[in-house]
Amino acid sequence: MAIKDGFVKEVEQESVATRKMLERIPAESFDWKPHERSMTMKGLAGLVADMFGWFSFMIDQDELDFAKGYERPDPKTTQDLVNFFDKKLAAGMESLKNADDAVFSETWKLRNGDTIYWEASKLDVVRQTINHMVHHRGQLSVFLRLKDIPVPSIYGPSADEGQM
Amino acid sequence: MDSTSTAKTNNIAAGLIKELEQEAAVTRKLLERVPAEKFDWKPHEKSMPMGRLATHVAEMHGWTKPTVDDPELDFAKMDYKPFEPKTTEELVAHLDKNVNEAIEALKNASDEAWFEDWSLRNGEQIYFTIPKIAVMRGMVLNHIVHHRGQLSVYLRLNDIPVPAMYGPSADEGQM
Repeated sequence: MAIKDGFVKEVEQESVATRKMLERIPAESFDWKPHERSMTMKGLAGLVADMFGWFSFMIDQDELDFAKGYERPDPKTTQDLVNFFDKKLAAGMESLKNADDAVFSETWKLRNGDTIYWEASKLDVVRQTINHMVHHRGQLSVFLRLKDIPVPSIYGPSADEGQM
Repeated sequence: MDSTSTAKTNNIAAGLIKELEQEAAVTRKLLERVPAEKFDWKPHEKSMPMGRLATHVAEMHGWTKPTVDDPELDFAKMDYKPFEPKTTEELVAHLDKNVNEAIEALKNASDEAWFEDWSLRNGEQIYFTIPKIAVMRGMVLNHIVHHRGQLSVYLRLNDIPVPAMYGPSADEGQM
């Protein structure tokens, strides 16, 4: 089994619940946030939608340099948000599916010009990106709950759906 | 003398142990900040209370051993009594105990064992049967990260500083 095979399967599986959540976020709630120091619903949902697209530059390139600019998602509607997710997921998947085992031993850097924030193997970078997405999607599930939007079952039933 | 090697590799477990240790260090930082007087607080009537959510994050590490050692988990045979910490120290100790047990269990898992089937069932009813690696990856590790993410929002809503996790939070670890 190639390294990418496990990742492809896992990303496909995790994408189902992620998409379900994004589909439920009404545009009217995009500017809402639960605390003054929190991200807005749009900021958090946009980040969650973006993250699987990161595989493209994590696998096909050797670094991301913030000094060169990074375009953040700015959806206007729920459909925009879901379309953005679908596009990013497709691009990330394409890179993952083409990755041979050797690629995962290469080093990847996150930097801002001369400042290096993070340097790790592409294996660790991809692994941590999946965890990172799951982390923010978990946060997003609380945002949904606070806005009385039904939370889909994710790893098991939620208080709203999928009771065993 | 038979030269056939029966030595088993455990590269998969080595990767999982490294990841578990790394994630558990962050999880511990969060749990250390959950005050006992907030254990009953919840952000919404349908939400888990903070103490239950934090305990769930700690106890889920304990699912590692049955994933590695057994072919299934049967709710019908379980006598599940959720741990109820009285203090933050008890909560953190529960995490430490479960993390240590999980690492010990992982050390015994050979690479090939991860591809054996594992089922979650309630007596006759089977909820799912998937390879052990998928159980460990999804139902244990990602599931922990999911609920820990929720817990980070609970902390924020209570004005408790959120530690830097995968990158800086609004409170700590600014680049």
